[in-house]
Amino acid sequence: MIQNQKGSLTIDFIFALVLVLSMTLLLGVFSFSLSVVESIQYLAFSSSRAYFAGNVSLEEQKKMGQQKFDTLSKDGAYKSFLKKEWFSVTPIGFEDFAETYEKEDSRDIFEGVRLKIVIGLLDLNLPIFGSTTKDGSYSAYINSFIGREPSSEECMGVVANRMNAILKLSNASYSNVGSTAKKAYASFDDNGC
Amino acid sequence: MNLSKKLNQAGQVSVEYVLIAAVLVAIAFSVKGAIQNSKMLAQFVQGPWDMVSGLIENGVWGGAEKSRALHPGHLSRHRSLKGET
Repeated sequence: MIQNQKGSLTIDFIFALVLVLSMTLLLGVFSFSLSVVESIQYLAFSSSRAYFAGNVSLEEQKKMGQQKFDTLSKDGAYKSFLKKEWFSVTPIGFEDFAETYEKEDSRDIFEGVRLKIVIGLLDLNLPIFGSTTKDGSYSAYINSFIGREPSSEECMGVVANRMNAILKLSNASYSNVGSTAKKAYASFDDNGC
Repeated sequence: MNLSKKLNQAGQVSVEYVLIAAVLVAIAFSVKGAIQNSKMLAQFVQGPWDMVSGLIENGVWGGAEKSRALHPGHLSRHRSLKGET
């Protein structure tokens, strides 16, 4: 008869330890991922704010937003934990996402930045339990919609259109002033945009 | 011939233990295989992930696609165009 049964307890302990450590790791990874997502929300806001500020043209505003994103993600504080295998963040675009969000009210603002985050860290292969991934990867979108100030290019466009409209007023004779009516006036924005 | 030596059956228990151990190991491996094939852990984590990603994207507890209509950007705002007097 086998009298010594101490070994069975060791096997039990190893089995339980693997299960508990796996679950602990999973919970830890999940918590860390959510913390990183919170941090990246600031990254989105900061990039969106750089895009928001008025500039020479829309392209310049987009460039400023992208520049802020690059500065923070590649050289700034985010660099240390934005490892490509763990967290990959890419901007989908700096634009108006009204179509994506099926905007109905003209006052609703969906203009800003939309980032895609792929969390490779959640793609685990735990002993006994197997893989945490069923189909596709763990990804989400992080948005910051704070709108955008008009660029001076757009502003001057509005001013020029307004001037043309004034020149064409039927009850006024602005178009007759001067020998070459259109050249007689110059439009300026007067910081009015 | 010593009959008492032949009647010693202590070895049978060891054989039984080995067989039981083999059966238990086989069961353990089949359970492990079943768990991994059914993607139990993937369902456990990826199931709620859709809701979590909706919360990340739209700030609302719901699937990412469905909760877009509930994004706070859609909320109607009340404001005075006259400003303070």
